[in-house]
Amino acid sequence: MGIRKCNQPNCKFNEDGKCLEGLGEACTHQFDEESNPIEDNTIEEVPQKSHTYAIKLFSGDYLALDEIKIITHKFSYKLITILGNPNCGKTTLLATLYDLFQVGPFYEFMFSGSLTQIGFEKSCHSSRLPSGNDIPDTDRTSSQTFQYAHLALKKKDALNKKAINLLISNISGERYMDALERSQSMKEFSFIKKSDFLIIMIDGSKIANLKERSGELFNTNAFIQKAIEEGVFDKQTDLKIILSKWDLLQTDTTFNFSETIEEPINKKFQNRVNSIAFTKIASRPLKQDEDVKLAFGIHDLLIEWCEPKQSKVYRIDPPKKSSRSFSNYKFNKEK
Amino acid sequence: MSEKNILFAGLPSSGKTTFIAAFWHFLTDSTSENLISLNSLAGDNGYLNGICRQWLNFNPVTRTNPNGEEIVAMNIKNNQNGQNAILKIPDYSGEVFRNIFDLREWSTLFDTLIDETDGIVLFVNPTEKMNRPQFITIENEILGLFGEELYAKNTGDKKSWNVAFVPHQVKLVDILQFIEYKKPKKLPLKITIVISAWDLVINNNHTKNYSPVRFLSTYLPLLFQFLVCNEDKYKVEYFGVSAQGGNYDGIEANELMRKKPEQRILVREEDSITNNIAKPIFWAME
Repeated sequence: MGIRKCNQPNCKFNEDGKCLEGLGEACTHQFDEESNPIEDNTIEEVPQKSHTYAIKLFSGDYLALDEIKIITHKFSYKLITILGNPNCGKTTLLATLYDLFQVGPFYEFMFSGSLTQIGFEKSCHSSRLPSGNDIPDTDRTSSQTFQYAHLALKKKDALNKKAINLLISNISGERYMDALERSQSMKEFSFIKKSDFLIIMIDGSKIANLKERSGELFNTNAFIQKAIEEGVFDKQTDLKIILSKWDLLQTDTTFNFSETIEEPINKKFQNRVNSIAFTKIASRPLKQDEDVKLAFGIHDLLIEWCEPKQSKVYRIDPPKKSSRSFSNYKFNKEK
Repeated sequence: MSEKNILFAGLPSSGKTTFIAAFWHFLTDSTSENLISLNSLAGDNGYLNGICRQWLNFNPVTRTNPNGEEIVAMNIKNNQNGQNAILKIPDYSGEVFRNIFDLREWSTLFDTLIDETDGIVLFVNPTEKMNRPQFITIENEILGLFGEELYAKNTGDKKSWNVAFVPHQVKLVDILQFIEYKKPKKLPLKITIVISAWDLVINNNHTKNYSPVRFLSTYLPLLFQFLVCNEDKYKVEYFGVSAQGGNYDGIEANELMRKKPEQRILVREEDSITNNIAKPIFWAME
């Protein structure tokens, strides 16, 4: 048996043998020095109070699917899913959206918060000076998991109303391509049925390149086709097709938006989904001019995303007229 | 006697300790005509007296414990309602707040402190270049005006993302969001925004006529929008404060030395200017 020692702060047992608790050897702070598991050279560092970081806060990274409940359980929200080939501009749209609010309100919209600022910051890094880049760029999304960014906005004229919580997807192009190739992978996209806005992005830079144009359109068509066949898209799906990098196409005389994009897709799929809408954007144009400035088309998207939530309107036949005039009252009013 | 706990929050070099030093002088020298006056000098005033001496002697105010906190307690009297109170201001270093953002966690001690807080004074350094992001596009536009381009200036070193690159306005928003996330019952919470080194703001040709609100909305627009949009959660007042009074070097220092210590202090509200450094604290504790 070795020498009795005490490890209780403020107890002078080691100096005068008196136990602060008055318990003698029964005191749990006492130990035999030889049997003390702490070796002389491995003194456990007692953490300083101010450095005892213990309580975890939210990570700030983009949210995985099973994490979005941090928003969906607390607030009303809009789920926006954007799909497309690698490098088509999905993350650049996200990064631009966030960066716009770094310099002030964007038209009528103001920044009301975000639980994914770290995720946004990582996406924006290559467009900022500390990256060492000469021209703005966007780091590609490499994660194979389905992630969502969070952005809460308010309108300037409705500051007393609740914020509009947008959950915007950041899904890698590789994941999209994989779903195009494999049925099992496509089936994993079933969750996107719950999206309030379902977007497929077409890469404007590939459309601008005649060598790549057909291949890009093939991918878009093939994805929609496969999504319909696997039941991911159906008669209730409202699809939006966004042509990105419009700055590369607006003066291209070989390109006609309606003939190349709208008409073929409508012709093929308009009877197989609820609706298809089309638009063009240029999140971060290479050269800005009067027609295409920074964030071209994004304001219109925000207006659409921030509209009050409405139940989906399905194609239903109008109610038949009743023989009783009272029953027809509402129907007539609506007409 | 009641206790009022005010949290001084801010990133490194945002002027928290200099403010406390000037405030301590203000209290020890104040009369009952002020909003707050000192009731008694009882207790341990060593830290406060130490930083106050630095301030009075025109030395930059430095903390004795650069990485931790100093619990500052002042026995004060609220001259508006006649009540005595212990005003507790934990003087945390800016590194503590930076670590909270970087590590995404805070200590149990800090957690308790938030529970006990009656209000927050949030300090902003107006000269901090990292307040807003630095965009390559904007930098190229500026350089273009001088016939230069960024690629000629860059060393070619590409840097991967680091938390140190995050703009301060983003960090300050997250610190407030942490409170909202972890302590929703503390809301609504009173917040005083103190833009420190206000003398530098008014000595700058671009900003000399700016009010604190205009300054924040221009130079930290993300934080400003966040506060405006969350008025139901944060009751905010804005102040520009120069606790130091001016530059301690050169001609300006000579002018400062001719003034009484309390006259060095400059407190700018939206429409008025005063030397009353108690105002930002009074708003938060009221």
